[in-house]
Amino acid sequence: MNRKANDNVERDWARVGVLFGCEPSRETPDLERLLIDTARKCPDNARLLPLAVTWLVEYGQFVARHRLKRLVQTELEPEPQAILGLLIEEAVRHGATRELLIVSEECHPLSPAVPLSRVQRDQTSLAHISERRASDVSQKCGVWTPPVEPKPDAVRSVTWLLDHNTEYRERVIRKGDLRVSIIETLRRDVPGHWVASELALSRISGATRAAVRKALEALRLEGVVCVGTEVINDRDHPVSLTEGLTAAR
Amino acid sequence: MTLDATQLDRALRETGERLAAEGDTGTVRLYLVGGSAGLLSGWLSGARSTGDVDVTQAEPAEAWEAVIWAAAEVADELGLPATWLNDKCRVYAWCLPLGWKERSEPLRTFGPLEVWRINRQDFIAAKVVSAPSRPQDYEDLLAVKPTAEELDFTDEHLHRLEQESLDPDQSFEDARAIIEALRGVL
Repeated sequence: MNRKANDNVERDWARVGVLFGCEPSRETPDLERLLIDTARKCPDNARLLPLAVTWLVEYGQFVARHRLKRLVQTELEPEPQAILGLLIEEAVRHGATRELLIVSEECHPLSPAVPLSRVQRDQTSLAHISERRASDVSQKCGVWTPPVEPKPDAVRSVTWLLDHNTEYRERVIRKGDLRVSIIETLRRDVPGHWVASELALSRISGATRAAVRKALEALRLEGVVCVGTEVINDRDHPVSLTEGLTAAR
Repeated sequence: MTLDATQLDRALRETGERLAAEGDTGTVRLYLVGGSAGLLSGWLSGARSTGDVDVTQAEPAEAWEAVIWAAAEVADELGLPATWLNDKCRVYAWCLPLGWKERSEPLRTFGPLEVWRINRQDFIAAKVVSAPSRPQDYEDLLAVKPTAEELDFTDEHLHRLEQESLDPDQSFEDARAIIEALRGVL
């Protein structure tokens, strides 16, 4: 993770309603990448874990879970993978949607296990404290930390969240399902906001081709995507976001 | 938009204004602990603290209901969580050293609302007690950089807690290890 992204994690959380005492980001964050970057930064700011867990308990249905799963598979290093697995399992344990577990299933435990907090790793006595007090789920994930206590007093309401991040409205209307992953993938992950085929979209959105076809049909009827009538080769139809929807809003 | 020190100031000020408008509480003093005390004192950075306010004691106690009513009104107006000002931390009041209230220091006054916070050595002592089960508190301690004298004070505090503990299984060895770790790195 580059330094800029590293500095922005808390600011991005402030933007989506976590009461970090820092200036919020100017733009609505890419939520899946925020979760990825949070997993990377948790060892350096232990406060991130309980706050991200609290946010997911409230707003887990905003997450484009198929896209997040694909980002885990293709971009996330082993240690933050284990941390993201812990984050999601703790969130589900405290009431977040169980549908997020399709992401944690992709997160492999870290072996050998280490304390989650980096400052506890360098000193043997602190590492022992961390291991002794580690929750069952953190032991399973290989990143020791005590049981997470959610902090609902530090997360703003859904009204505030949507007032300040209007593009998240479409996420929650679709409850983070495959349609959201397709939209966010076309909007953020592919040059020109288009892909050559349904199959290509299936590969990069982290879902089966049949599921992608069904979601695409729904999105086409909603007027959100265009499926090209011209074939690129014998069978493939290009898929693109409808003009005007390409920018992250 | 965020709840940085300036916004926190505003939220507390508006709470004070609402209390004043009600006019029947008289002066109310709040004693702050935790991240908001660290944030308002400049001991912790905004990225290391959250803006919810932990009140360990209100004086007079009977005014507390009026305070949280006013705070809930302010929450509506500023888009804050309804419980941005709360006293859940009272269950951890035993972590504070004896005499903490006498050593507390005034932060701001907003009409009838006086906001005080625990002083630095008490803040550090409370963080040491909780750090074994809250890694973020150990990170805060590294950021605050306690002096040798402040750690000696905390050591005495742990000794007192050990002497007074009624639970034979309660151990403060991990907290002592935190002190030793801090002595090693600061």
